[in-house]
Amino acid sequence: MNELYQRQGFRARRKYGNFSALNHKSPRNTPFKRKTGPKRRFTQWVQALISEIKVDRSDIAKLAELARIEIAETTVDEVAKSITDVLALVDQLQAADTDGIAPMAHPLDATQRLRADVVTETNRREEFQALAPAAEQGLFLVPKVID
Amino acid sequence: MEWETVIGLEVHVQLATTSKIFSGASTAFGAEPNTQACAIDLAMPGTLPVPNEQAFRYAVMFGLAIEADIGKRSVFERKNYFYPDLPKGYQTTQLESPIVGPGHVEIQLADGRTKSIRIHHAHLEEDAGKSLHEDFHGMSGIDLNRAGTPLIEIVSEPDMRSAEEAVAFARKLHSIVTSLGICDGEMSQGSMRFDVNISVRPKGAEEFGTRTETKNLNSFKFMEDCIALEVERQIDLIEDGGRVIQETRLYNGDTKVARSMRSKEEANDYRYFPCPDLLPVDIDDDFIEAVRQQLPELPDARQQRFVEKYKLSDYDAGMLAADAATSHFFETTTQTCGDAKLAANWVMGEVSAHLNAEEKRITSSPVNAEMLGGLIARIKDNTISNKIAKQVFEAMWQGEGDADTIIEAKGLKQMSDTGELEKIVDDVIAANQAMLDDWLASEPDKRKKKMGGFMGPIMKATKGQANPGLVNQILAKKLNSKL
Amino acid sequence: MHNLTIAELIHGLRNQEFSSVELTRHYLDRIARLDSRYNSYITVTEDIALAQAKAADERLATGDAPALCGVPIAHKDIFCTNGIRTSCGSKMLDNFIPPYDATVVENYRNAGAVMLGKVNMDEFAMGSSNESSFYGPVKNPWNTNCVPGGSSGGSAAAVAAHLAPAATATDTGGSIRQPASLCGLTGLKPTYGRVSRWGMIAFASSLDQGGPITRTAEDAAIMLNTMASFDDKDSTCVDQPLEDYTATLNDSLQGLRIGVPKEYFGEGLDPQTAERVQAAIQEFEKLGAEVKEISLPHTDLSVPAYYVIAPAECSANLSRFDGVRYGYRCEDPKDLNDLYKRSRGEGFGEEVKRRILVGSYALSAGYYDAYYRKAQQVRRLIKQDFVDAFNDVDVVMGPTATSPAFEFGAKSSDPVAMYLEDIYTIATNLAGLPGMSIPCGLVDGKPVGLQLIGNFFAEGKLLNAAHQFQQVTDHHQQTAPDID
Repeated sequence: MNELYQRQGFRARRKYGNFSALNHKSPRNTPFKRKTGPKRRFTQWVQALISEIKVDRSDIAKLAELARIEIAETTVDEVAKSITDVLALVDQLQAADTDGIAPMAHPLDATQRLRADVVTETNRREEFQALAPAAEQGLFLVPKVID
Repeated sequence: MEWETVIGLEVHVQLATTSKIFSGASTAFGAEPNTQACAIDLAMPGTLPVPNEQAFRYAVMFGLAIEADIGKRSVFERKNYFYPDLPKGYQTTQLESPIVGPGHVEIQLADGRTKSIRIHHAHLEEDAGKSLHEDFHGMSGIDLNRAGTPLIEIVSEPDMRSAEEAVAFARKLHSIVTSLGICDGEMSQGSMRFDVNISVRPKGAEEFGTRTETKNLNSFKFMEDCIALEVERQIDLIEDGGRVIQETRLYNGDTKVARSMRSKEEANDYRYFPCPDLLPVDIDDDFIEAVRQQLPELPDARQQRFVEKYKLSDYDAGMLAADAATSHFFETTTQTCGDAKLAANWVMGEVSAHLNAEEKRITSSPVNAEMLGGLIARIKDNTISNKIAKQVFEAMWQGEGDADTIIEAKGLKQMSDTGELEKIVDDVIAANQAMLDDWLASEPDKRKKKMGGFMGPIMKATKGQANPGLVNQILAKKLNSKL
Repeated sequence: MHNLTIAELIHGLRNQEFSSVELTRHYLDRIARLDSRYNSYITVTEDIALAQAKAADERLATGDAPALCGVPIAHKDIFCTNGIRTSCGSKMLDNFIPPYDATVVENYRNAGAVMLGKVNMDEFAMGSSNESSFYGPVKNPWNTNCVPGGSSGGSAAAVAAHLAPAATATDTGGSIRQPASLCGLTGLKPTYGRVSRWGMIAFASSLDQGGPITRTAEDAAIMLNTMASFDDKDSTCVDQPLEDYTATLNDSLQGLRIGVPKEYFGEGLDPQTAERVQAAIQEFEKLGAEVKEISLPHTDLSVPAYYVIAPAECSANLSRFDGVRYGYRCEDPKDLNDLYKRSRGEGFGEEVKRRILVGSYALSAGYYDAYYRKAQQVRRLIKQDFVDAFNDVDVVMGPTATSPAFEFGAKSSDPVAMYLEDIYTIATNLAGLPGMSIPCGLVDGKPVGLQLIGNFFAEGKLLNAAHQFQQVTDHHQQTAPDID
């Protein structure tokens, strides 16, 4: 996992809005493109690597940071093991032949309804802020935000 | 070594919808904190987004204005990161299927060159709230009124080669979105914000250098200064044997200091995926055609029209046409006074200078277009001189009424009574014997110039209200009669 | 009174055999007296229930009574209730009192139903045993050493113990059908988009769907009539004409084509459970249905695909629980990051955290294609299996769960074993199809469920088949022992 985390080139494929250092071009790809030769070989290489993946303590630390969840030091090994187990389960997916199959994000082939541009909400600040752990002068309070 | 600068821009444009992109809360600027943040904007549990049609209409308008492909099927995705001004813990945005595909924007440069800047794409997304850094017992305050305001993010190709080009591009985008009426263009309120990607390379090199991204610039001046600073920093760095690191930077326009936000970047992994609360948005040809039919006049077309219809220079037409409100002001003034050239001079001269001095927008000018037209009309019919007109304008600006009221009240009407003027001219000639002698003794070809010496005392005697043309006529006649 | 079905209660209330206040008080008394055995309720809303019952009685007296006027029900604590704590089974929302109602809650209120309270559930609906609730495990009324199933374990236990005549529930991977199966009840997960998700706290948005848990198919039809609606506040809610699901209950099953997937009877299925399910399917043949074996070849991949998609969606859906605007906030955060990490670390339970981490992993840079995108492709293959199947059959039938209720702790230490519990129910959510579980017998004194899966928006067909089955069998009339 560590090795993959550091593979900037691959990472850039879905990294947002950034121009890559080399060509200043956004990496957005056309959606749902069929895998071509070299791309497919690369995917196979990644898949081969994934099936050997074991999530270790440092991976848990990274995931915990990404998800902003404190994992107690005493449970890290246990969490690492259970996540390794779950990933072994989901790795069965790699056996499926999905060549040319469009990903399905929603069960129904529906399209989005749009709403008219009308203000329908009124000010309910006091009601909402009554739920806040810390609020003052109409603001939600958090420990100092440093840019 | 000679260096070349390479610049690409990412521009956030707040769309002028009345409600937010995914909720029915108001987008009005300046409300009390969190009074325009509804349950959806606050990401209360169980709430769901429904997109605003007008945001799509505006995005399509922009796409058509830059001759881009419109995304017939666009998809919202979630960009995951934690920040207190981002209530859901993800920003709903578009990644793989944006609403606006590749297009282009033409810019004009000071030396008269034009250049086409390619647009990579533009996508719809929601704005975040604001963190207020004033101290609340060591805490920051979060105002989520802005959260969910619709944005289009316009991403350019790295086609600009100087700060001048970047600023011209930014101004042109401002001009396009305000002309379309899809953004109020209020830079100071954050209605348009610019992220600038900058790199340098040896002149003639094929490959781009490593870029940095300076985020959230909200004035053209800051952008210009920041680019100059960053280009210098990068060149110095390379020439001293160093390397530019790809990083995000922050520029403070007031202190003119930039700094790295490197620490922020490392941990970023936005984990984009299609938002399962929203379905793909299909835009059909009928929708696009209907938008196209109602597309307002764009700045380039307007400039062309001003040149042809009002016989303005390219430069003047370009200046006026860049901003929809200014164009409208100019055209209304012209209609009222009947003189496009004078109207253009006044709008670009006095009006613009006064607005700049007071940092006002033309839509809130104390002297409106009809009032300015009325003033120019009085110049044209010789009621007042140009000089007096400036005095009247000043009074109008101070709210003392329209031109006629002020001229009347202050007795500024130009003196055009020939009999009265003849008497004053006679008196002045009589009172300035030496000047007369000098004039009489002059070479004939110098006399016209020397005649000007009498103008001062005459204007003084008439408190500046004499019609200068008429005075000239009378004076010439009187002096010539003494030869 | 607590042995009556919803259909019977409506009849009794309208004929003034008893009042809603009497009925409601009877249920409140039972809850107060018996629920300590089952832990099915998180919050009992006695005052509101009695006020609503009183209002219902007034409306019943005027003859202007909506569909469920005076009928008490319980809501799963995942549905937001205006002014009433909505915890989602989590410490994170232990103090959360929403200032708005879920559309489902509003629909039942408008139909005159009386809210008895909010019932227990696995934390954020993540679990198959109701052992992950912050409010403690729910016990199966059939055997209190056993789990009631999850995540709607509180809904199922409350109905099975006759502490509510019916309850709302939600199903993301089997969370209605599996507890219904383990508690001997009728549970219906409608087609994705049939029931509004507004105000229903999201676990995995593209899979979540609300539905009822009842004692009979007829009750499920009555409940769904009120629950289903078109809601423009939910972009994924489908604008499909509403039907009266009770109108087709008595249609004949003559010629009904039933498909039995061979993959649902393979390794891992308890043989006695298989036997009960097979016997039930034979009962349908007696009713005139034709049964044939079919194949859903990608069944094996449904659990792996689900455990990418559901965690991925939940990892983002649960980011809003950050200790800033509502919910749990840790003590004395030393900085912003500490506020986030400890509030979420302390506010979420182990299973929720595990799924968020798995989801974050699956979406992270470099893994998107191999996990998330791959799972979405497999999802289409799974849906296609059903589309192909429904060319030849009207209803698919098989087991709901691999076995009857298991004991507490049997699977809680092994998440993968727990995940496989939903092997027969998950594909339905991935495909968006309606699914039902109805009781079809007992094994060792514990109920076994028959699963019925229908084509898109074929809830009426499922309810019809289930109702006809219940007309000729009495499995649904069996009640848990010792419920008083």
